Parts: sequence; structure tokens; C-alpha cells
Amino acid sequence: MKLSNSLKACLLLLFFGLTSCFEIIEEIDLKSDGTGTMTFTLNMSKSKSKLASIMLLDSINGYKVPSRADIQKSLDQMVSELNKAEGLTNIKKTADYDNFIFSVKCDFKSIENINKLTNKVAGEQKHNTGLNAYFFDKNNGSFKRKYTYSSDVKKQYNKLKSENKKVFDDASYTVIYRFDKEVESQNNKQAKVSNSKKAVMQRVSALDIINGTGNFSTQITLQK
Amino acid sequence: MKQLLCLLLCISSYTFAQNTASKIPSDASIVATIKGENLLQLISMEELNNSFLGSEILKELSRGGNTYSSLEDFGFNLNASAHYFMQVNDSINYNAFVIPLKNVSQFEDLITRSNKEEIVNQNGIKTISGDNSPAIVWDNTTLVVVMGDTNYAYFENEDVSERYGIQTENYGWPETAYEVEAIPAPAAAYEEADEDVEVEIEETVIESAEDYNYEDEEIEETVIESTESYDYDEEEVEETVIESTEGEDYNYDYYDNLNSSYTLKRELAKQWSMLKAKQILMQPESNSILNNKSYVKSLDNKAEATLWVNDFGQLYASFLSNSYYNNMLGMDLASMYANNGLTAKLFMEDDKMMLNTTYTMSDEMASSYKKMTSRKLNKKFLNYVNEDRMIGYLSYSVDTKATLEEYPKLMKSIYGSMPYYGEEASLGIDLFSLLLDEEAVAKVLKGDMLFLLSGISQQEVTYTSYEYNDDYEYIEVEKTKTETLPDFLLMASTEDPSMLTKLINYTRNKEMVTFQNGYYTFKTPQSPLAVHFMIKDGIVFLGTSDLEMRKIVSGNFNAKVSSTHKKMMLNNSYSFFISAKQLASQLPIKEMGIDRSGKLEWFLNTSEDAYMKASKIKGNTLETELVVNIPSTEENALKYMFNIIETFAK
Repeated sequence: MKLSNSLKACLLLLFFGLTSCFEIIEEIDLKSDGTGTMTFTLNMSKSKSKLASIMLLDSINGYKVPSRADIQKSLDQMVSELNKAEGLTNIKKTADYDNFIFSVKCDFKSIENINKLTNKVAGEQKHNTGLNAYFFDKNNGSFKRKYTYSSDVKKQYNKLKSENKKVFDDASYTVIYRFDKEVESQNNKQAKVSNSKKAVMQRVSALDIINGTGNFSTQITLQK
Repeated sequence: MKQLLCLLLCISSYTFAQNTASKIPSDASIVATIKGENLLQLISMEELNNSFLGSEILKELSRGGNTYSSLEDFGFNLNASAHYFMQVNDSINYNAFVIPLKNVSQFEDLITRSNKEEIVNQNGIKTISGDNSPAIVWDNTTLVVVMGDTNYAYFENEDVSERYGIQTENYGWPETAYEVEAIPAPAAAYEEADEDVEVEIEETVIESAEDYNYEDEEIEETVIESTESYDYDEEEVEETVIESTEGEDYNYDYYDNLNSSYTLKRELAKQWSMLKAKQILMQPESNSILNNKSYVKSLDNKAEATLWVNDFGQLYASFLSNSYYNNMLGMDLASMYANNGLTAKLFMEDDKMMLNTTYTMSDEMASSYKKMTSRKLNKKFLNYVNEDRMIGYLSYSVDTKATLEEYPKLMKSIYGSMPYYGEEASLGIDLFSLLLDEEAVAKVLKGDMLFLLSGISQQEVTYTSYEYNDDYEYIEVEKTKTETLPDFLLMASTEDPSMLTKLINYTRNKEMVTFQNGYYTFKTPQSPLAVHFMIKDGIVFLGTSDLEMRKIVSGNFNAKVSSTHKKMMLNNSYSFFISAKQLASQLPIKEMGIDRSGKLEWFLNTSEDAYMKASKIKGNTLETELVVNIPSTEENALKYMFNIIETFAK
């Protein structure tokens, strides 16, 4: 099972929707001891009417439309796979088929467990979709995300038909880091520190990710 | 070879006043013709060469050092007619192209450059050495290309498979050697000719692009030992020896045998196709399709292209008789469609492109269809049509009672002859007719309906988004956006709505629908599209527009329909209309973000109305007409088509 299958099944639906748009939210709640919670949410609610219509069909443009059962199966497989991963516990999934919002949440012992998982997912991909690695030095209160852009993403995007590219026009990827201490500084110009100073958020459009202009690399220093 | 085939398809879909129709055999089942002369009156040679399609062909064939500046350089006679035809018999189906040549040297230059093969001249009949599949032969004026496809069922016959040394898939054939004996050409291929045509077989290599060593070709060798003349009165005309390289130690397991059988059948198809191609090229006019009255009647000098299908029954009989499917299912489609033919004519004019078809039925079928299509569209439907907003419509009119009575009769002709369950099927159909109260059903829905795409509207829909607090924790919030939705209205006549009313009451009691303002509404949670319905004045209304439903309830619907559309809806058994102008004016293309390239907007803004209609049955014929109007900015339909291809291809 590939962890990305669920996302692919959902994105396939979006491709059928042509002008659909979607939002991915990645949340990391990190405690000072290095443990935390990570949540991935895919919100396709803005396209729900088109997706609902498309899901009434068996296939469209020669592609099989994933059924509710297919999506459910993929999500279940994803949970099962996460359960096997080292250091990940309390795996939960939610699926709202009325609004087409899906999420997966897990607790981790160390952010390194997430790195292992993302490396595994990246290894399963046919194409390099960019690399993410997280580091947390609990002694110094320093959190770092290292993001490496892959031009393969743009190559794959350019291979898409013009009408399928529209799926990404209004799509976005949001990352939120929450801490139990205040943020002293962060170095990503595209990211913002919350009013409470305990969280950092960065929203990047899908097109910026594809073109390499959206950079998730961030260094955050927490107050001691 | 692929390049050449593509070119031939393009040429035959464009070309072409030598009468190459005389090359088409009198028993062809399907004939399609494209008239180059008529097409070249619509577009000049220069314009054709400069068109996207023309320049792409020239570019493709100019690769490898050859330079072509005009489509005329390929040697085809673009001012004459090119034909495609299909000829079927029990053993093989032929798909053939007959294309006139203007300059044979230019054509031979093209063929030798693209194939790197030698041209073999057999007493004026030329062909290419080597594989030669499909079969390509030509003389100084005509090119013939034949693709043969052997019939599966023919070789399942034990006598036939034994004769050719082919193992059937149903039983073992252990003793057959792969060096097979003489393979006679299919008898059907010779029955058509009345007179002898003699051809001396004398091979002359006239041109070679590169040295070719026949002795080195060990993979598969085909030796055609031919008698000195093609004597059409005698069956044994040509002997062929197929030598397989597999050798005597061949392991006769199931899949290897299948593979060898496939190879043998393919080899037979190649040889028969070549023989057929030569016959076509040499065919005397007395044996041609020009002696077929039905075909001759289908000809039209003004049409740019024509299609003629002799008899669907005969086609079904050839394709399905004794076949696996027929034996399994036993459906006698050939009987049902016996004496059913078709003629289609394409006209490309200055202001429109028109495709007229005439479907001729057997007496039995015509009698049934006359009854089935006897109903006229309910005139009251027109009270709910407003042309000012209407994007398109589809009208359909059948008589439910007659359809329920006649359709089982037609089905009996198909299923009644099934070998295993024919009697049961016949009994089942009779029982169905007995139990069904056709009259009662016809009172519920009489059989006429009108579907209107009455407009496009914007509707607010909700979606879930997020708002973030000071800790960037989010809460789900409901936001709204507008979506573009089609407004449609479907109308159907009813004489006795009591059954429908019961059904509506049931859904209402189960809270599946709501009742408000005099009509019912069905809505699913995810869909912004609510469907409203009601029954009024003997009409069942089903629509998406609130406003329209309210107007229908109050009797204030502002109808507006021209006499042209009235006639089209009322006088035909079905009609279809679409207004590109209305679509362009109502569809918020930019807001919808569906036209990144701007091509759709260009297409809609430069397109005119299009319609299709099918007449009531007159005599035994049903006539349909498809018309696409051409914008005034375009010179004619052909140039418009080229313009569309160019815009969308770039």
C-alpha cells in the first residue's frame, strides 16, 4: 500500500471536476519534550457539488471514478500503514463525504518518526515530489524544516492537459506549527507568527509549489 | 509504411474526373466516397497546402531529406473521387481503398522513399516487395489498398481447418505438419466475375532503394506459385506454400498451436488481400457497383461525400452467422435488419454543413415503426418554451401503446430463433405482452417529451472553510460562492396521472420531497441542483428553475417560439437544436475558469446554431437531417472546418 493512494484517489476526483479547487492543511503540534501530533487535512468542500455529481458516474474521460468505498478503503489502508510505522500512535481518520473533507491525525514520539515516514512515502513515489525533513533540538528549543524543491513536480505538471492544470489554479497548501512556548524568531518570509506567538503559519499556493517559488524551509527558535 | 498509410487515409478522406467507382465490386456491402473535385471548389490547392492539416502532412513526409511543397506532389489525383468499401464473405472481410493517381512516378517516388522497398511490376500491376500488409497495388491511374480480416467462425469449421492445416481452439489437431499444402484462395473471391481476365505473372523489379537479399530472409518465406492466368471460372487459381521456420521438432502445445494458427491465418489474410487488390484493380466495369441500382440511386453530384450501406441484415449475417456469439446467444439480428439500408450525403455549402441520411427499412419494420412513431408532440408544450433564453432542446415523440405492442414483435424476430432458449424467449415475450396493459401504461405516459435547456443561471452554494484564532487553531466556517448551473425543463404528456400522483405522495410521506408554492422539490445534500416537479394540464413538468416552476403554477409563463422551431418540434419524430450564440452569451466562461486557452470562447463566439431532425416514416424510409450553420465570417463549411482544426490543434 502506498500512503499517497488516498490522496491520489481524491485528486483524481478533482481532475474530473476540472475547475475544482482544494486545500491541504498540515499541522504539527510540538511539545517541548519533542513529542507531538501531526494532522493532515484535505478539504475539497469548495468543489463538493461537482464532485458529488462526478461520483454518480462509473467513469469519466476513460478514467474510473473512485467510489466512496474506494476512498474509504484507501483511508483504511493509510491508517493501517501508519499503525505499523515506528513511533506513531493514536492514529485517527475522519471522512466527511457531504463536504468532501478528509483528515488523518497521529501522535509521534519524536519528529524523527515523521521523517522516516515521509522518506518512506517519497521512496514509493515514481516521481520526486520534493523532500521535507523536520528537526527539533529540544535542548536549544530550535525547530527546523528543510524543504528541497524537485523540478520533477513541474515536469509532471507540464505533462497535464490544459484543462487538468486548472485543478491547481486555486489550490493551496497550508502548514501550521504550534508550540507550547513562544516563538522568538522565524526566518521564512512567507510565514507568519500568530498573535499568541506560539504558532507559525505559512500558506503557499499549489502553483508556487509547482514552480518552486514557494519555499517551506523554516528555522524557528523558541524562547527558553 | 505507417506514414504512407496515414497519408492514404488523409487523402481518401479528402481526395478527388476519373470514375474509380468502377473498381468497386457489385457486391460491396458498404461504400464511402469523397469527391475531391467538389472539395477543391471550396478550397484552393494553395490554401489546402497552407492549411494546418496540409502543412503537417507535408512536414511529416518531407522528413528524411525529401522535400514536398504541395499535396499534389504525392501523385494522387486530388480532383477525382476516392472510395472506401467493405466486402464481406464467409471466410474474410475486406476493407479497401480505391484512390485515383495523377502522376504515378511521383507516387512511386513517395512509396519507395517512405518504405525503402522495391517496386515489383507484374505486367503493369505494381506492388511493393517484402511484407506488403496491407496489400497495396497500383497501375498508372489507380491505387488500391486492401486490408483483410479472416472470419474466426470460418476456420472453426473442421473441414476448413483441416484443409488449411490450422488447429481450431476447440479440439486437438495433433498430426498437422506446418508445411502446409496448396492453399486455395477463398471461393467467394472468384464468384463475382463473369469473364476471364488474364494476367501474365512476370515479375520485374523496376526500382530499388537499397539492395535486398532474398536469400537472407529466413524468418518466414512465402512462395506464391501461380498459374499463368487468373481464371475466374476455375476455383484452383493460386497455390501457396507456407514454410514455417519452427521446423519439425516443434512442440505442439496449446499456445504454440494457437500462435501458429494465428500466423497461418494472418498469412492467408495477406495472400487473399493481395489477390483481392489485384482483382479490384483489373475489375471490368460490367462487374462494378455502378450496376447496382440502389448504389447508383444514392449518388449525388452536389454532395462532397457519400456513404451507402447496402443491407444491414447481410452485414449482420456475415459478421455473426456461425460465430461464437451467435451460437451462444442465437440472436438473429440479420433477420430483423434484413433489407435495411442506409444512404448518407454530406454537403458543405457557403452557409451550412448538412448531413442527410435516408434509412430504408423492410416492410415489416416500417409497419412497426410507423405505428410506434404515430404520435405527435403535445402542442401545449410550446406554451412553456421561451426562445430568448433557450440554449437548446430535444423533442421526442413515440406512441407508448404502439411501442409496447410492436417492440415485442421485433424482439421475437431476434430472440425467437435462439437455438437453445428460442421457444422460451418467445413464450416470455408473449407473456410480457399478455400481462402488460399497454393502454393503461400509455395513459400514464403517452410517449412524447420535450427537454429544454432553458438557460444558465448562477446560484449561491455553501462550502466549508476555516478561520484561525490567535494560536492558529482553526474553526470550520460556512462560506458561500456562486456556481453556474444549467436550467432545464422536461415535459411529458400524461392522460391518467393517478399512478404518478400516488408515487409523489409516497415520496412526500417518506420526506424525500417537499411541497411548496404548488410544486414538489427533491434535493440531495451535496448537490446545489434542486429538481422541482409537478403535474398540470396533463403535463408532467420536471425542472431546475424555481422561477420557471412558479410561472407554470401561476399560468404566467411568457412563451415565445418561432414557427421554424414549432415546425421542427411538431413535424418530426425527434428533433435536436443547440444555439452556440445563446451558450456563448450565457455561459460565464471567464468566471468559471474553464477556458484557459481561450479556444472554447473563440469556438462559441464563432459558431452558429445547429440542429438535427428525423422525419416521420414515409413509405419505408426514415430521413434525418443534421445541419451546422456556418458563421458569415467564413467563406464556406470546409474552410470553417479547417479553421476549427487549426485552432484546436495548435
